[in-house]
Amino acid sequence: MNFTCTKSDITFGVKIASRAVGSGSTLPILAGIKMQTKGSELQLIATDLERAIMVTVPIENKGSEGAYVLNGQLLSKITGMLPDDKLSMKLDENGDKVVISSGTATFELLLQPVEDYPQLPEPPKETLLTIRRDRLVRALERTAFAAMSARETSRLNLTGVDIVTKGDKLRMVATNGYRLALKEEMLSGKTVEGEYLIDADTLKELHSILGGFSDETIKVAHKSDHLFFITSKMIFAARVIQEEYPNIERVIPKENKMGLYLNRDALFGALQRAEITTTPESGAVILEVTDSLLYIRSSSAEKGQTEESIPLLKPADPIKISFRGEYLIDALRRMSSSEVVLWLKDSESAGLLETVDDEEDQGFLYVCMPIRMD
Amino acid sequence: MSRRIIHIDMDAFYASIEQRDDPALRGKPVIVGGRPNERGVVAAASYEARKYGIHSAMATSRAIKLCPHVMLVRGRMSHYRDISKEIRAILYSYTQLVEPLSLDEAFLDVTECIEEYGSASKIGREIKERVRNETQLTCSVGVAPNKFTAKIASDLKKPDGFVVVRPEKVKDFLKDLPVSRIWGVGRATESRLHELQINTIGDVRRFELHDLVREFGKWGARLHELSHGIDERPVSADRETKSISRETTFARDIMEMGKLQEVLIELAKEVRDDLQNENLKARTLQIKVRYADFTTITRSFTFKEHMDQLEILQETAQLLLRHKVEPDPQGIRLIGIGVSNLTDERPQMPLLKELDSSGQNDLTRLLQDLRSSFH
Repeated sequence: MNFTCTKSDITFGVKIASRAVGSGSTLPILAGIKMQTKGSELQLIATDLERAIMVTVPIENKGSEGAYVLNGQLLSKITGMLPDDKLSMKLDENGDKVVISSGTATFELLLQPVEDYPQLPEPPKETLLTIRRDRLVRALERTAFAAMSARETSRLNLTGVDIVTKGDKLRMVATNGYRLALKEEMLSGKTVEGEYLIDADTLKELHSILGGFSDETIKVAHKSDHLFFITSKMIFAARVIQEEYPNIERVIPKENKMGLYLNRDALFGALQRAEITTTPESGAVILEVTDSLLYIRSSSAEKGQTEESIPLLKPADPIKISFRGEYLIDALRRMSSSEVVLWLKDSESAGLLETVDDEEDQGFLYVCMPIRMD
Repeated sequence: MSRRIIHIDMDAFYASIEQRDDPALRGKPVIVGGRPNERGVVAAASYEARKYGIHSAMATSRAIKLCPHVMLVRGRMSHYRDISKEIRAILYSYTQLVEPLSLDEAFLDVTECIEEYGSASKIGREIKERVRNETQLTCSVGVAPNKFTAKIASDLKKPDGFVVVRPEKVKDFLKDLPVSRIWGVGRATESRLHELQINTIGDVRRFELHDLVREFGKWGARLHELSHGIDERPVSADRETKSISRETTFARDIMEMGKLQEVLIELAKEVRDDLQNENLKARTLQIKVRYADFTTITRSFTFKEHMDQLEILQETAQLLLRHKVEPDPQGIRLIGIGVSNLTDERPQMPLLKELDSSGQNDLTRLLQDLRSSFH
C-alpha cells in the first residue's frame, strides 16, 4: 500500500464506513475498517455482521494493490484531525504498520490481521428496483422511527421495517404494536413482487448516510438473506430478518369518518408543550373538540398541567380522546405538509393521521391507538 | 424557610362511621373486627370502648372479656374506602402534595399554599370544619414544620384535637414528651433508653450524636435529629394506595396444604377485586404465613410488568406457598396476600392484538413464564 489522497475524500469514506463498524466485543476484527486499494480507488469496508458498507474514494495510487485492516475508531479520529488537505498512506518497511503523513504530522498504526476479516455479502448482477434517492430517503425517514427498539423487545419482527415491492411501487411499514407508520413511494420503473423485513436501526443508518451522496437514483438488489442499496460510490448491505411480519391491513382504520383538519405546525407545537406535563409512564395527552376548537391538555400530579386550544380548519363533531403525545409528535415532526388531518372514530379506536395535500407526504399513513380514559 | 406540614388523623375511623350510620351504636362501646370464635382481631374501637382498655390489634375475644357488653360490628371495607375518598378530595382541594398513610391518615405539605390561604393553621382549621360538615366525622389535626412533629401534634389532643406547633417552638414542644413517642421506640429500645436515664425527648438532647450512634447504631443518629425537632423527610405524593392486602386467621391451626391453597385462591380474588375497584395494577405480590408459635414469614415475587389478572395473582400466590414456604408440623395460624408496587396508569391500547396483555394467548405465555421462574 502506498497512496495519496485528499483529506475530504478519506474523511468522507471513513465517516460512512464507520456506520457499520462493530463494537469488537464479539469479534475483535470487526472493530476495524478494511482498506483495499484497487487501481485509482480505495475501498473502505466495515461490517458488524448485521449490516455491511463498502464505500469507494479516489486516490493517487503509487504502489501495488492490497488489503489491510486498521482500527476504525483510530482512523476516524486521525482523519478528522489531519493538519493538511492531503495525506499519504503507506506500509512501513517491516510490513506490520501503516504510516499516515499529512503536513507536519505522522502517525504509525498497527495492522490487524486481514485474513481474520469476514467475507462480505456480494450483490447480484440484476437489480430488484431503482428508486429516486430523495424518495427512498423520505420513505425511510417517515417509517423506521416507528419500529420497536431491539433493546425493548424479544419480538424480532417488530424491530424491522417491512418493505414490500410490487409493480411500480414500494411500501415501507414499521410498528411497535401501538402505532404504525406506512409510506408508499413510486419507483423508477417496474419491480418484482417481494417482501423484505430489515432491521429499523440499520435503515436509520442508511437514511442518514444517503444524505451525503449526490446520486439521482439508488439501485436495490436482493440475494439470499441480504438486501443491497447501491450508489455509484457505495454498497450498503442489510441482513433480512427471517420472521413473518404481522398482517397490518386489518389495523389500518377504514371507518374513521370524523376528520380533524389542522395546521401541522400548530398541532405539533401544542403537543410538544402539552408533553411537558404528561406523566412519564403513559405520556398521555387529551385531545377534545368543542366549538370548532381542538383543546389539547395534559396533567400529572407531580408536574401540573397544560392547556391550549388550536382552531379546526373544518368543522367537526365533539369528541374526546387520549393519545401518548410522543407518538403523535414523532410523526408530525417528520411530515412536511402544512395541513394534516386526524381521522377518528371514537375514543377507543385507532386514529389515522395523514396529509391533506403534500407531495412529499403523499402515500404516508400514521395509525395510533389511544390510551384508555376512565 | 421552614415547611408547613399538616397531619390529619380521623378519630376511631371505622368505629365512628358505624356509629354515624347506625344511631343504635352511638355513645356505646363499639368494636369493628372479626368474630371471637374465628380468632379475629379488633380493627377499630370507639372511644367508649377504649375506656375499657380495648385497642386495635387486640384479639376480639380479649376485648369481649374486658367489656362484655361491647357491640361487635363486621367491617365494611369498601364503605370505609369510599368515605376515605371523600376526605381525600377535601385534602386535594388545597394541594396535590398529599401523602395518604392509610385510609384514615395523611400528611399534607401546604408550604406553597400559605399565600393563598393565610396560614397553615387556617388550612388545618378549615379541613377539620369541612370534614365535619361533609362527612359528620371528626378528625385530629397537627400542624408543624415537619412530619414527625405534626404527627405527634395531631395525636396529642385526640379526639377532635387541633394542635399547632410554630417552628420556633418545636424544641420546647417536644422537650417533655415521653421518648416512646418517637417512631421505632419499641419496648426493648425503651428499656435501654431508660437505663440511660432517657425518659423524655428532651433527655435525648443530653447525649452527643456519636454517643447515641455508638449505643444505637444508625437509629441513634435519627434519634438525635428527631430529639432536636429535625425531620427532613418530604411529603411524597407518589400514589394514593401503596399496597393492598388481605389475610385470614384460622379458627384452628391448619396443616393441610390443600386447605391453605384454597384460602389463598380466595384471598387472591379479594385482592384482585380491590385492585380493580381502585383501577390499579401491581408489580409485587407477597404472601404472609404465621405459624402456630407466632413466627411470621413473608415471601414475595416481582413481575416484569404490572398485573391485575386473577389467574396470575392466584398462581403466583400458590407457587410462593409451594416453593418458598417450609411446611411445619406445628401448623399455620394465619395466611395472607398483599400486593404492592402499584400503578394507576391507564393503559396504552395495543394496535396489534398479539400485544394485548389481557388476551388469552398472553395469559398462557405469562403463566408459563411464571412457572418456569420457580424452577
